Amino acid sequence: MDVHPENDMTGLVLDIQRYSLDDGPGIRTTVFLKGCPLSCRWCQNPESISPAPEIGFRAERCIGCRTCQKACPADAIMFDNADRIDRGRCTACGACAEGCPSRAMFAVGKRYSISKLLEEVKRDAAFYEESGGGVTLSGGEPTLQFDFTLAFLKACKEAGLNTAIETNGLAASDNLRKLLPYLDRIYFDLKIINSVEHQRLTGADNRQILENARMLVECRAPVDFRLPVVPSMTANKANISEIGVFLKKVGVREIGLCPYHENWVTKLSWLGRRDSPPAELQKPLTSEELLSVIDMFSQEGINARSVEGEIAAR
Amino acid sequence: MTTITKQRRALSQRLQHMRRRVIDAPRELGIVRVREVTNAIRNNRDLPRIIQFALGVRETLKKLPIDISDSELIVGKSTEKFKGSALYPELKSDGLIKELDNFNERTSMQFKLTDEEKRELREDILPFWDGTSGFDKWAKQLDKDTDFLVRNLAIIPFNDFQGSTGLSYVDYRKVLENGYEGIIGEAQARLAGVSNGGPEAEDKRAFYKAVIIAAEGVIELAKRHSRLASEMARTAPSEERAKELREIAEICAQVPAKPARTFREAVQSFWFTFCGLQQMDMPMELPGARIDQYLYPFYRRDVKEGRLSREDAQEFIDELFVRFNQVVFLGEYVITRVVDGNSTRFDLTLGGVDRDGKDATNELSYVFLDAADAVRLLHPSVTIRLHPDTPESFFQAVGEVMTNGSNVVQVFNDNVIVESFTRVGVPVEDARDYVLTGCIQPLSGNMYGPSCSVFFNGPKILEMFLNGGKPILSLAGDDADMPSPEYESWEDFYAAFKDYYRSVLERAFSQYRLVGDIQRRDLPNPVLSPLVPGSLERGKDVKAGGALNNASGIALVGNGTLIDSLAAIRDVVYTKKSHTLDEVVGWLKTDFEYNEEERQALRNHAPKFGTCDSRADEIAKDLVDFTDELLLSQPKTSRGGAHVLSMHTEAHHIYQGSMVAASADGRHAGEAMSPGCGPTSGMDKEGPTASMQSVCAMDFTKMAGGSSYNQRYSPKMFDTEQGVQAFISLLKAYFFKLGGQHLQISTVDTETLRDAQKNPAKYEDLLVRVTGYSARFVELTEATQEEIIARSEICGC
Ligand code: SF4
Ligand code: SF4
Repeated sequence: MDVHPENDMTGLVLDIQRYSLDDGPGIRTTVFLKGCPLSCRWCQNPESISPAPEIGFRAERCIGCRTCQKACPADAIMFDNADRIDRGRCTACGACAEGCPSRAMFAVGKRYSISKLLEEVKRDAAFYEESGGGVTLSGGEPTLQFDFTLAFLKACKEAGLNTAIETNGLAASDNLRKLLPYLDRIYFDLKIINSVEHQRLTGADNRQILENARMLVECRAPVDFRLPVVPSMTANKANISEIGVFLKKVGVREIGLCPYHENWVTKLSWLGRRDSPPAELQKPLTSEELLSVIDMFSQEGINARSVEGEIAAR
Repeated sequence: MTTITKQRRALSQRLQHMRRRVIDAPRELGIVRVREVTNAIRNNRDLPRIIQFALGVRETLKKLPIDISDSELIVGKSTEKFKGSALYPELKSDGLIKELDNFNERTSMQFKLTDEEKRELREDILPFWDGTSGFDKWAKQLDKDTDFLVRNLAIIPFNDFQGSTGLSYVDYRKVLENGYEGIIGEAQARLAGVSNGGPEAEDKRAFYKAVIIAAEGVIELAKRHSRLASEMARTAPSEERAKELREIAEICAQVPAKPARTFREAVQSFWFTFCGLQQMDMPMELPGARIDQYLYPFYRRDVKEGRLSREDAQEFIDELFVRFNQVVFLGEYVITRVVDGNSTRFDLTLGGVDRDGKDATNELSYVFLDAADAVRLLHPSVTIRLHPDTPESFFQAVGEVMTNGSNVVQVFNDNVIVESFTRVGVPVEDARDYVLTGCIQPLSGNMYGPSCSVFFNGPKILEMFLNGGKPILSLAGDDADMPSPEYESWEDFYAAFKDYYRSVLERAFSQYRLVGDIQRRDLPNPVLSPLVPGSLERGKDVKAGGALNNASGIALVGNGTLIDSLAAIRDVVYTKKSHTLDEVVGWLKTDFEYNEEERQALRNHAPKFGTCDSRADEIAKDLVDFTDELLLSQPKTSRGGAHVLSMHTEAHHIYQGSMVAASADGRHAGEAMSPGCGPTSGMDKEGPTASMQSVCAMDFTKMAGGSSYNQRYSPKMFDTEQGVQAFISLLKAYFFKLGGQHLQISTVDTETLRDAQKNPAKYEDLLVRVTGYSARFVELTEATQEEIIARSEICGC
């Protein structure tokens, strides 16, 4: 446990998104915390995985002024490199991002104290109040920065804000339990039931996740399960039917679907990554695929709905 | 979460046909009005101007060729052309004379006229107005310093010669309930009561006589339609149409001469009145006022007595909507730029509170809203008044129309507007009875007051301040390279800027007084005056201060650009002290030619209005407070009213921006400035809630002249019911928790707009909100299209 008084505690925040509508009821502000114990192949926020600050570079914004180079204490900026940053040398100190006039260099991950973050999310209080909205903690995996998450949720509750969390479920059960009093809603990702497949595609074992899922239902926590619908990886007959069986066993009949979007792929290059994802991840989920997943769930007796709304009507 | 699958209501066959016809018809010039008015003056040299005008109007309405087309149920046009503009050279004639040969050919907003008409205008009519129009008289007495500011577009104080004088509260109820015969009767009685002697009594007598003559004209127009309908009924192609024509004949025999007896008569009476009002003052911004209110008693009675169903009423109102599109206005070239894509602003105001402060939303409010959504043409412009007790079902209906991509309505906050009027001395009952006019200008009940009489260009004023009082960029050749001022601190700098800003505005006010004097003397309006309460009672034209309430507005252009520029100077020069003021001004003088790095830093690192950044927001607030004090300290206008502040720009922010040098917010010379009262397009990067909070740092109760605040949303935000509900909550919080005044949104994504630029034919029906008005996207100039595309697309991703 952190020795600092709570308000001095800091967390590493990836992004704060206001007027967020898909992460719980009403108008919300979603705070994305950086760092995740999983590394799903389809992860749409690759910059959220590492628990350390990083530096991003968007070449199309660069005007070639070399301010960054002058600012860099580690001599890590190379103009003749395809990726501008020598990631081996870079200490992610952020000096280049601060100086870059065009924001071609940008800090990925910023430290916030509890009080600063609370002040930030309270700005939209009028909108939460009118819409029944509030604050959602997301990630990465917010429980990875457990002390910060707990302290922040407490602070939100003291400020009278509605709270929600989006979790992948890979956390110590005790920790999850400690968060419950400060949460109005939990969005819990169920990805893959088969443990071998889970290990293969997310890099982690799923026993703890499934146990937590069961535990939350048993203690009547306000939990909603969600499935990231990824072509072939999660959206296959076997997986869907196993999820269906699992849900029925714990006594749940509903699941939210998060359709896969491919537009994260460009973000890889911002982080200096050269790898490109497999072909099936380079295109978006089609509405037919989404419908067929809904269909498969309904054959299992599970009511599945897209969290982004159904297929566009207009 | 349900997905919206609601279908847009289809128009009846008859109306689909009428709608198509009005879209396809070319704009034409009607010249009967200008011929008759000019002749009336020439032939009656000794009569007072107001009587000359009235005679001209009466002759026009007697002689205007009329017709009743195929399936029309509402009849009457304001010109002899199907989709026609009258001409008003008495206001401003120089552009007409110079550009007469171009109207057919120019690339945007063409108008057809025949060679014969052109010849008559060139040889006979326009020479009479050469050098004698109101504008000419004003321009002749312009002093040197003001001329300097005007030709460099720092101030535009002569908008009252270009159509803004139609901004008036109009009491249509008076015609519906008493008929024009009632008005004539009242004028006769008052005429008889004018006591002998004195110039004032003479003026009054002339005024009443003119009112009577003009009213006779409107009656005559209707009677002629009645006779025509009777004739046509005899040879009608079917018995059904013959019956309709006989009904039309009967209705036009009754109204607007006599009180309307039914809903349909009330609608027709309104329309003739509206056509009559078109004969004076180039009233391109004339409101239809609170039409759901004054038509409601007729609607309710007819429905109760079984004469009318809601569907029948809808059909009439749909037709009325289409008919508005037949009234168009010729503008000279500059006007086509500043009102890009659409010069007409006929506003219908729906909902809101009544004079006692109670909710006044009624069934017709829904009927009119539905017509706007189903007809989807540029006119009329529909404004919804909202207040905390607006019925939830109306909120839902409004939210649905705002988000469905029709882009045809805007909303105003009653709480804020009512207070803005009581603050400047308007009785609260009148304040509650406000109507929308022009793009976004509210006018209280019983108020006459062009609220966009004077435009002033904030960023240009800053440019001149930074360059020793001279422009850096000037099409008039006034540009000069002057030393920039030096100040110890931000406080000193800002105080000096405000002094300069004050001196420019004071000059604008004094000029506006001259405009008002010319309006009073040379440009009275005997058609409008009797419909503005106070005028008949006092025997005074509206231009002479006859209305019970008066105001006049000055409109700030480039608010967001001005704030961002000031905030950037404070940040760089006085807070971080990374550069001197002289350096910054140097960049502006060269349009950042050697300073792209600095420009990028200004754009990306300086505080921006619209992101909830107090360093920008407090300047926004302070400038409004300061301007408000300045306005309150001014002498009254020549009509005896207050000057009120407005922040709406039409397309001025683009046109005027094209003549403003680079600005300290990182904007290049000539680029568009910020629209309306809002942030610079694309700079509100924190989403709609942040943008709204920034905007609401300004005290909108100090903006009785109105404001326009624009947002653009991706249609996919509204694919779900949840998205629409979130928007409605957003709107409620913005209005009733933060004190926002106005909102209009365009629901269209960037991809669609880009595609429309490439394939205009595919998108001829695509409407967008510019600032306070809708326009067909494909008819906008490229600069305006780009400004709309640059607006941050709110897409939740
Ligand atoms: S983050 Fe620091 S070390 Fe890394 S490239 Fe930028 S300036 Fe150099
Ligand atoms: S400071 Fe920014 S714009 Fe300049 S060279 Fe470096 S990355 Fe490019």
